[in-house]
Amino acid sequence: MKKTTKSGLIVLILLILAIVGYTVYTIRGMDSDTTTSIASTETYRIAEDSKTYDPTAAKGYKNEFIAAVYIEGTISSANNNYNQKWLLSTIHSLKKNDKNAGIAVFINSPGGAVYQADEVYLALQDYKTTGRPVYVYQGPMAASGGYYISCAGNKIYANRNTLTGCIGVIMGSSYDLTGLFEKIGIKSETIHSGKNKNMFNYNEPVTDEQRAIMQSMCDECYDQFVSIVAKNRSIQYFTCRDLSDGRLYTAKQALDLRLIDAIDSWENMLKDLAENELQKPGIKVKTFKYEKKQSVYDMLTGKALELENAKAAAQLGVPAEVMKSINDADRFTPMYLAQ
Amino acid sequence: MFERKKYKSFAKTQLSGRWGIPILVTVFIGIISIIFSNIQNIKLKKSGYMDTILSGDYELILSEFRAIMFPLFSASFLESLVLIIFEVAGIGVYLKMSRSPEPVRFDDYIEGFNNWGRAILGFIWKSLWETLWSLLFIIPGIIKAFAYSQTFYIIAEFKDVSVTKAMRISIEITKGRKWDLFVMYLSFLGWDILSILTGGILELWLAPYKNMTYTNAYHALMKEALESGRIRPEDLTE
Repeated sequence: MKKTTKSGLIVLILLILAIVGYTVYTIRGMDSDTTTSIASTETYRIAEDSKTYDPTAAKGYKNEFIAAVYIEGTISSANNNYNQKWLLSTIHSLKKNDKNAGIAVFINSPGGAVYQADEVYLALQDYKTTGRPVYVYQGPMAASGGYYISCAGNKIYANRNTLTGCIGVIMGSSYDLTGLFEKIGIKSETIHSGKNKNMFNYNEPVTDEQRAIMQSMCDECYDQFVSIVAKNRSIQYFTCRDLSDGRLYTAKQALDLRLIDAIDSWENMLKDLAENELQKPGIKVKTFKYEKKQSVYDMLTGKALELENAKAAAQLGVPAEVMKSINDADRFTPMYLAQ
Repeated sequence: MFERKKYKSFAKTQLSGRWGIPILVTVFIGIISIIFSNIQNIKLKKSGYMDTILSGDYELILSEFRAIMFPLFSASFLESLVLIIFEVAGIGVYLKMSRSPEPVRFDDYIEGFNNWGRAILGFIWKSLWETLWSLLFIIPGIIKAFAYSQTFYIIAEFKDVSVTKAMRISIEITKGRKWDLFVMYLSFLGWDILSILTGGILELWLAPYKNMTYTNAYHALMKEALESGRIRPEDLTE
């Protein structure tokens, strides 16, 4: 082969390799979900100015870190601010990570679904079986489901303006439109088996038996909530029941009732965790926050649904909220939610 | 004298019996273009940019664009560089075919890749000038594009000429002939439409035909410039 041909062939092969590499790299890079969180966007050190800080000792734990996990937004399976899968996998991987010395949870949530809140609580309890501490800091709001998760903490801190508490369950609202339909002459019938299959639907009035059924489901979830609060906060069960009438508490009131442990700032809580609990001043803190860009598609479809609901509601003469709730499939979902 | 019809019919005779390699060249460039454009489209779709454009929310589109602008353009730029290397190598094949009727081999195409450095520089230089001119005015930008159109032929044929000089020679030899070039490009419009109807299959045969014609036109332009003394043979050798 001529020399020029050989060198040309080398160039061609290099180009093809570059193209293939570029294609593979791009396709690989696209698999990872670009919308979920970046682990550790911020890393900083805490309590370096502590009196007990010793540079030589600090070298021993220079690779260890406290995980600052942010739980924000309404607790559900997944929405724009919160993702259950991400949270559980983060806690799970932190448990397996030897370098992780403890978790500092930041909660800013009005609560949410019972199922997911309980899952997170149990995941944190499972994490604590390794002997590592979980400290909870309550942000502007840590009500209901937010407080449920806080109970998993060894120590609960709150800001002096935090609103917490709201220990209780919302089971689901029913809108009985039978009267309205009679007035405007609409007949609606759902064929169902058994007398309770069509429970809480808008075209059937609620019977006492159905009320009792829903109330029993609600009471069970309520019991679950009260008992974990009583257990973790070391409060007598029936005293706890009295506190848990569903009202919101300010931080000061919650402190007086032993629902939280201290009122301070986020930094001071981290300092307390690093210095006193872990005795590792100067330890690193890594941030774990779920960030999702709201896609325009979600925005568009959300708006369209709202418009449709509003139109239907206007035609029937019922408030738009009622329409939304009728279309909502969550009639039976129990929520630890501060509305 | 610019004899467009002669170049086209001559191209047909030049290509007869030697369709293989030019078609292969076209296939190469085609495959790579398709890969690149697909990657870009998939990346854009994944990042949500396509949805943003459809939303019509002007501010959102602007901010999204700013976010992806740099990766998008740098990726397209790099892709264009790769494509231009393949194109210049192809031009080398057509030049060889236009000189003598002997059969061409794939080695001739591979040899064209040695020009990769000058191809990249030529592309950067040419694009720079074309962009600057089109920022100024659109129509002069198009006219200048015609003026610079012969740069790659010169780069491929005369290995010793520097890239900037190649562009100056291109400007010189296209003087007075830009309208003829425009008509020549336009004369393939019917073929182009037919090619679109066949979904691009006809392009495999159309591209060699077009390129052969353009190469013939280039030779004629060069010959005319040499004969009338506007370009001296020494210019082409240093």
